[in-house]
Amino acid sequence: MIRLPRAPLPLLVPAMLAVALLVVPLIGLLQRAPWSSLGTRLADDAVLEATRVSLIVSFSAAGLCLLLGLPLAWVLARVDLPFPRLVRAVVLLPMVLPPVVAGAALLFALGRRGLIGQWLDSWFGVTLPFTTAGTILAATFVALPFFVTTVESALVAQGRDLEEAAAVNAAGPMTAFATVTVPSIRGAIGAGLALGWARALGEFGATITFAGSIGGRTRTLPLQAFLALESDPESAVAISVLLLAVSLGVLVGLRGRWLTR
Amino acid sequence: MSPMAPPAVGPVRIEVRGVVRREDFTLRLDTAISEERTAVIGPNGVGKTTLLRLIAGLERLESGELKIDGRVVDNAGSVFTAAHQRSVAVAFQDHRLFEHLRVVDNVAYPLRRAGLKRAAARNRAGDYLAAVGLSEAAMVRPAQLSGGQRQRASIARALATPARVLLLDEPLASVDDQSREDLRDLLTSTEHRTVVWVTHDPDDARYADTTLTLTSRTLNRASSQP
Repeated sequence: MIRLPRAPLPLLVPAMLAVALLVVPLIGLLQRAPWSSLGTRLADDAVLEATRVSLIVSFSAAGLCLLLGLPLAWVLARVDLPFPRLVRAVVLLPMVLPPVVAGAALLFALGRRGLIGQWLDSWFGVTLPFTTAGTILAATFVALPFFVTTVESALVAQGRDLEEAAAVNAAGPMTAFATVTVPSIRGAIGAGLALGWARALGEFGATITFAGSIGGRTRTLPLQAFLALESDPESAVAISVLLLAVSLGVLVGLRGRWLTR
Repeated sequence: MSPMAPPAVGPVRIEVRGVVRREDFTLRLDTAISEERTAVIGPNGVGKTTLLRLIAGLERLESGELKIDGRVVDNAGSVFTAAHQRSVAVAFQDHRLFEHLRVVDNVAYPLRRAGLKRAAARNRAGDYLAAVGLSEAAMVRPAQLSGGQRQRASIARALATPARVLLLDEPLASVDDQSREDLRDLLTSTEHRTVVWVTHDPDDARYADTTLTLTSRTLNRASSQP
């Protein structure tokens, strides 16, 4: 038996409407899903290729989140920065920035004529737009704040106590970080990685703006789904169901364990 | 018990003259700790823990100077020797055990930092655990320990730290009466050259060579035991 707490109607009704708003589109998607041919549609060459690109891009982005985001989270949590609110806002910005704006910004910075891109091109012959590397950068740009905020809040909650204990046990700052700080927040690091990975997997707007939609190189699953929507809607629905299942799986896996501390 | 600590050649002299400012109070200090066993007493909130944190390098002077063994380690400016380079061991009042490590690896932690291999460090950590009567809990995680056991594990870790100075913050507050007597003997017989011991228990203070009384946020000079 589910025990329902007595909720006043003026709260209950809007709450139910909100749930409906979130759930109805998903039902709409699921009722259109070609369940009997789901397997063959997902095994289609174009879809498989997009899956390959998506896996490379999302795991590379998660790796970059760990490599760059873990130090960033530590700095945000432990260092007295000038203008802390502004710094934090900049780090969180990709969460609320329209992805198209993000893609355009990446283009103006790292495009062949961009701020840094022109030097990358003329000095090293490195071109990022319309490449898999560019796709990874776009995905990392949008995924990073999810990782950083998850890890940073764990670091803030933990405080400096254990790092102090490591210091008086003759551990230098890097040793303390590696042997005490990181292992004691490994749950949050895992949660941040899962969230960042899922966000990278679903990335669309920044990718299409910065890296385009080139089969086998920059066309990830969401781009493939968008492309298929015109020509082969059932394939688009099949990809959507797959992405929905993965996203839901990540959140259900994390529920209550790390997201709420 | 701590063969890696420097050979005992008398107590380490700790001299502090200066001001520590915290959010809620200001501590003015002018004292020298020069005995092997010094008990620090005084009412709650007077700054006893802050004094230990200052000596350990976890707190900075706002003005003045702190010398350990004749060497300036904090001059409220250009000189500040970090905690991990001060050769000071601490048993925290709130234990601060590393929850992701087994109890034996908590005690082995400072030994590993001193360069011992894992097996050797664990081996020696086992000796310290035996000394505090915690051998049976060596392989469990700290979360499974009682409050008194946690405190003993934290004492074992501090004793295992190869350092000249041992700082103890209410080390026996949560252990039972029977273990308290044994642990007092253990803490006073450690080969750390100088032990500074914050306590509320007059019985603890009796074990010290000197008692330092902190009053009204000002540290007075040490008074010798009668």
